[in-house]
Order: sequence, then structure tokens, then C-alpha cells
Amino acid sequence: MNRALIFVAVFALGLSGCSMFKGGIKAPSKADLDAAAAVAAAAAEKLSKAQKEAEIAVKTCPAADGNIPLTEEKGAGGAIMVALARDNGDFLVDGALPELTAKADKLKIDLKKAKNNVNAYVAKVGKLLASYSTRPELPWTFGVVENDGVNAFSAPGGYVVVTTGLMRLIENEAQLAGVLGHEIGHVVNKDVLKSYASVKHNICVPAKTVAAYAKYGIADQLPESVRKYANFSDSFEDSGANKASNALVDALTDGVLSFKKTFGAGKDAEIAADRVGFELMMFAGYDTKEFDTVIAKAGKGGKVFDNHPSNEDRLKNFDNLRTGMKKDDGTPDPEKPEYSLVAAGGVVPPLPADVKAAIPAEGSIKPKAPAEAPKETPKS
Amino acid sequence: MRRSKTFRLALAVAVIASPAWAVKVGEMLYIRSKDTALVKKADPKAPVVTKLQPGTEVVWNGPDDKNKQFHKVKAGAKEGFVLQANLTAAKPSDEVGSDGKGISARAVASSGAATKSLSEEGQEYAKKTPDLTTAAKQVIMLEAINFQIKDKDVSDHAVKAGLPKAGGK
Repeated sequence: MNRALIFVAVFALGLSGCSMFKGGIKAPSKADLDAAAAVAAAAAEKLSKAQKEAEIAVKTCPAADGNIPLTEEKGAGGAIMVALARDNGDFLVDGALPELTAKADKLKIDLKKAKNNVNAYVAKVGKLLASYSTRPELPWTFGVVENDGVNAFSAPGGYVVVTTGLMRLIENEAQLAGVLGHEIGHVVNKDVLKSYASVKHNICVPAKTVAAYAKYGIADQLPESVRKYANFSDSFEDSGANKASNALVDALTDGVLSFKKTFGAGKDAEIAADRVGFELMMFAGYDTKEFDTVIAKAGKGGKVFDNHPSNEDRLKNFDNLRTGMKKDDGTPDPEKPEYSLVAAGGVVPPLPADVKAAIPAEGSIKPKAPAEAPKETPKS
Repeated sequence: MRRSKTFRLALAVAVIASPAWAVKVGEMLYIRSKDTALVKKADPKAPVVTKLQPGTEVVWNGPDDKNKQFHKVKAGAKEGFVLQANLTAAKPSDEVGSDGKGISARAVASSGAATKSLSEEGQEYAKKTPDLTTAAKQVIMLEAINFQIKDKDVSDHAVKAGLPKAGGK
């Protein structure tokens, strides 16, 4: 590298010298050449040091497939949920909206109001299922968003939401359990959190690189695609980076949502989430055949993403879970259990009439009117 | 025909007795659900010996002869029965603490992370635009609704729907 830079410096001086010659100016002296060589050598040394420093610094970045601490998951999940809520419509809630800084555990919401009662019902079913999951102690939050699309989504930290369009489609509680169980599966399998870890890594690497180059005053040598991460360098000073800066939270949230919109969770993750949903239904005592029914009904519009499994594959997966998966040679795979008997005979509770009645008719959803904030109640 | 019926019955009994995991009697399983009741007999109304928490290791001694939903286990020095649904062959994953070390599900429950309230990060993100602020307030309201739903409400709902109580309680 040093040689190359000296060559460039001397060549540059040589070019300018040529023009100087035309004007009758003298050729550079040996001292000028030595000075140019020294400048080039210093620049090369800076570059070398910056490169080595960047190489060491990026090794402290969180791994792209690393574990995210629970506190960070809850933090990120909150931001992701807010963004998803904005993009998917108003929640089916009735009452004055609280202050942004209000503590949920100190608010008293009237659950007798029809819309709130729908969320309370979904929360009971969801919490029942989550109690059988591998993450029963997460602060699970279930709810319904006013959206005519047939959809459900989740966010890290235990947020699970279904649309009113989906609530209109389902015929009984077992079908709702299948949908909620699938979304719980995404949360316990940390599917969105995995893309969060990847996005975080992909921000940290250029941020640390820019910081290392900036220390030697040569950040401008990096392309703009790397330099644009300069503002995030401080966010990773704490190698754990459990408490992200606002700028980093924004970038991570937007990055995760972009990833989610573009790629979804992927075929394998969807099948794995189906499996969790199936098991949770079974353990809670619901008839798992209702999961097949709701998948078949909801899937009439086709797949959302190309890398999502087809409904045919998802239904086949359920059959495999019931009868036991087979190896390629057709023999039973002992690692893939069969649930044929325990899955059968579950119950199919009806949807409560008051819940069904509170779901807005298709096309009737109106913007939510602003209202006064409720007062916080003293902690009991 | 009779032989076929007998065979099918025997097969059914054998399969019913088989758990949904590939372990043998005497091997280790884990408790899946919180506050899982370890009861004296294979009966939901039997006295509770103790309550077990997710991740607790138990020695699996097979299903009860009469009530296949209940499986005999030994948790430390205590023996009894738990509902099969509360057992799992895969150890429930510990959460990761801020120091990178694992923390138990029980510790999670008492930690700040389990607080049912929108995170500071969520609140800060919500300040970017008015529509995000409104969305965040709705999320807080939803969290408040969920906070008001207690374990007993969930158990009562399960019973009303004809399902086993959560955790076999």
C-alpha cells in the first residue's frame, strides 16, 4: 500500500511538473520528492492503522445470529409493535387514550365495553395457550386491530395481534387458538428477533468502521454507503448495547420492518410456527383439526410471500404431526413425534355471542375519534 | 375378524400409552408450564403435592394405567402425577439477561422485562410522528386490558370452554 501511495504522489507531482516544464518552471527537487513520499507514507500509515482498528472494532459488534437479552427484546418489541400498529389500523379499543408515558399496569380499562371485551376474550385464549409455551413468563399482550384484511402478526416481547377481518372469518375458539398459537410460535421461536439481530449487526459493522477511519481523519475515503452509519458509532460503545440510542432504535425498527415486509419469516419459520401452534392447541385441549380449517379458509387469497409455504404444505405438515413424520426411506422418524391420539378429541368452544356481535362489519371501519386521557388509578 | 379387533385394541392401548416424545421410562423430562400442579393421584381433584415451574427436571415414570392424561413423575424428592401437556422433552429455553447469561423463567416473571407496559424505546419511537404517537397510546391501552386479565380469569375461561385448567391447576 505504501509503495502504491508513493507512486501516486510522485506521479501527481510529475504531472504537475510537466505543466510546470511547459511554463519553464524547474523540475521538483529531491527535497520535494522526499516530502511527497513522506506525505504518502503518513497517509498509508493512517490507512493501515484505521484498517487494523476497524478490523478489531467490528469484532466487538453483536453477532448477526446472537442472542438478544430479554430487556432489549422488550424494548425493541415495543417500537416494532408501535410501527406495526400504525401500519395496520386502529386497535379495537373503546375509551380515552392514555398519555404516552402512562403505565399500563396502573390504568383501569372498562372491560365491559363491547370492543374492550373482544380484546379481553382474545387475551384469555392467548394467555391460556402461552402458558403452555416455552416462554410462559413473557409479558404477553393479545389484541384485535380494525382491519378488513385476514391477517395476524406478532412482535418480539410477546405482542400478538389479529385483524377484525380474521375475527370475522373464524367460526369458533379452536380456530382462533390455531391463529394465536401460530403467532405465539413466531415469538417463542424469536423469528423477528433473529432479523433484528441481523440488522443490528449490519448497522454496527459500518458504524465501527467509520468510527475507526474518523479517528485518523480519513473517513472520507469510505464510500457513502458506509459513511452514512457514522451517527451510530456511539450506540455501540457499550459492547452489550442493551440500551440503544433513539437513532439506533429508529434504524433497527425500520430495518426489521423492511426485512419483514420484503421477506416475511420464511418457509421453515412458518412451518415451525405452525407446529408450535398445533402443539399449544393440543396441550390446551382444543381440536387441532380446526387449525386445518382456518388455514384452508384464510389461504384462499393465496400466499403473501413467495418464500411462504403453500397451504397444501401447511396442511400436510399438520397431517405429519398427527401421524408421525417419516424419514426419506419411509420409516418413522423418532425425532418427529406423532400426536394422532393426543391431538384427537379436543374441544371446539363456540365464539361468545357478544364477541361476534362486537366485530365491525366489513367496510364499516371508521377512523377513531380522539378522546380524553383516562386517569391513572393508584396501585393496589 | 376378532383377532383383528383385538390387535387394533392392543395397538391403540400401546399408542395411547406412548408419549409424544422419544424418551424411555426413567429418563428426564422437563416441566413446560408455569405453576404445574404435581398431584398425589392421577386425578385433577387430588391434593397438590407442590407446584412446579417451567424448566424443572423430572424423572418420567410413564402414564397412569387408568388415566392416560396423567403421567407419574419424580421432581427431586417429591413424587406424583402431572398432566402430560405440562411435560416436554426439550428444556424450555432460559431467557438471556443483559449480562449475556441465562435467567430462569421465574426470574423473568419478577424482572422489569416482564412489566406489561410499553418500553421506553417504543415511547421514543412513537414521538417521531403523530400517527405513531396515537398507535403507541393504543398499544398501551391494549397492554392495560391484558394486564387486567389475571391467571384466574384464564383458568375460569378454560373451564367454561370445557378445556383443562391452564397448567393443570
